[in-house]
Amino acid sequence: MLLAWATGLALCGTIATMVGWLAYNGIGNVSWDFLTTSPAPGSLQSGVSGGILDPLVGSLFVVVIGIAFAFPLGVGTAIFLTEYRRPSWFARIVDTTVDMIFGVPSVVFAMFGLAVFGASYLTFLSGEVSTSGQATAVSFIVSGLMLALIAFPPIVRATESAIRTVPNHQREAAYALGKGKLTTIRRIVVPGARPGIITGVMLGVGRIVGDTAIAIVLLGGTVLEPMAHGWWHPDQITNTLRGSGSTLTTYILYASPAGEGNTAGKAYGAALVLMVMILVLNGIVRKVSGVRLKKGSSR
Amino acid sequence: METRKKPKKAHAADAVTRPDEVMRATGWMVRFGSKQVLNGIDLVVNRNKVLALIGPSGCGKTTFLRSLNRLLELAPTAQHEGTIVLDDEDIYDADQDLNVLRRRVGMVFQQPNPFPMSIFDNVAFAIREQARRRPRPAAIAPRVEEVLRRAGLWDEVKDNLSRSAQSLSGGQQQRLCIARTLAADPEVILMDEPCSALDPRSTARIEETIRELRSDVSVVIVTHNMQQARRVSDQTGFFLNGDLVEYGDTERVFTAPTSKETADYVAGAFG
Repeated sequence: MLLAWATGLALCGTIATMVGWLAYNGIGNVSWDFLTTSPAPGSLQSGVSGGILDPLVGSLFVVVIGIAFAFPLGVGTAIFLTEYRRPSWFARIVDTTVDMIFGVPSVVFAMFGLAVFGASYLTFLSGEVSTSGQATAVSFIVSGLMLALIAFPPIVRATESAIRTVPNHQREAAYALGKGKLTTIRRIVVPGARPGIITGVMLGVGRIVGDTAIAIVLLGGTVLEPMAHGWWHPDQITNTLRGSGSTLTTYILYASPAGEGNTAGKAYGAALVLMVMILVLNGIVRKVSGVRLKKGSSR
Repeated sequence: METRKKPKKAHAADAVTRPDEVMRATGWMVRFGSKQVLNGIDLVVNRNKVLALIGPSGCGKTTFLRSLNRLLELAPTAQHEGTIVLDDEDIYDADQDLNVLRRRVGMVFQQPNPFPMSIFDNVAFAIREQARRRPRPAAIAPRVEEVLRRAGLWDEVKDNLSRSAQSLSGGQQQRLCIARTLAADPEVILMDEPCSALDPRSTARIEETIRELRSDVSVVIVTHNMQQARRVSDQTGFFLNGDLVEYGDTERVFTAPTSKETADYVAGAFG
């Protein structure tokens, strides 16, 4: 009892210290300018200025791409594992596979992605290496796809356990009203599992935002080369997504003395922004799923 | 509209319903794995009447009830033999559309189980067909009102239909479940101890609803409550260890039972 209590205290203490340390060192660097200007090329060594706009946008890109693939796949897999499970040998294989994906270090996925998406007929997902005709396998799309893999297991597991909490009598009630299995899943089971699904997606977002290995290998970590001017323009966006870039994590690595840069302050600032982003996201989701639960209406 | 093959007419002469009968089970046997729970039941559900099924726990009356809308099949180990017909159609025929059958034979469960949606949506869910376009709420509002009225719930909820169904009292929830079942426009409603989780006042209210429903649907109600069976039903069937021991008009079953077991049970000697 005392030990458990002490463990909890130690844990809270560690986190509080970390957040405090980040805030203390980072807050001075965070400003509106810091968030809205691109990193200045070549400035990270000398410690001069520049902001984190590009890595911020880059993190957003990979999150959107990754979740766009991981969400339907994860929820679909969870539905299969809970509501169908036929044939059972296949369900067991899927189960084990999800666990394995959970356990694989992301750098392995990065290497795998480099090999697979380097195929010459996949140049449309990244760029072409002019000398060999192979694909570069370095782009927001490719890293988003591989990051979907690491967001996938938590979505499956959270959705699965949420689906299991939907009481069986709800399913029976739907069947007794002459609803088929699909309608029952779509209108009763999935809505009932919504809070759990949202939790799973949040865990997935957390894994994507926090991943570094895939972003370095498959995104290029090109902090020193900001995105081209007008990257957001509709004509340009495909090229942007096929191109290289950076995320907050790679920025932190490159900016800090531990990586290639010499601007610890910038790294602290970016780390603080990353932390606050995740906290805010969590708060919003808690709020939203809470309201949904209370109102419970889905007109 | 869907073109569905009409299920085959049942061939055995005794498996055909007469005009005053809506359902008829013939030699109905059910096994779960190696355990036999029903040993060949012959039973008739009369049109626009209330049939009460009584008997001690584990006698097979709920299993029989779930046979009537094929909810039985949700149990993977369940096996069955015999026939059950609904208006001369064999409900276990391969051509029978399960979802159509379950709209014709609705069910109210022991625990009130409204969906975690608004009152309106609970009823609307039953009304909405799997059409490509969902009907607008305004289009089905009159129908929602009608079934809530028939279930005797309208006056208590009409002011706020968008309230969560789970904020209702247990008795109100159960009447909402009845309304939801009525919305599918069934010919028969099965009730599995619908009042066992309710207080006496809610129970009285539901029994009143059941008596009113009789004018356009047939009801089969499983109950542990002898007084309730006597109050609401026209016919009573007494199940014991997987057999239908006694069947007949309720008054006769309670006042002049032909078997000793029935006499003991209705007198409260066991169960």
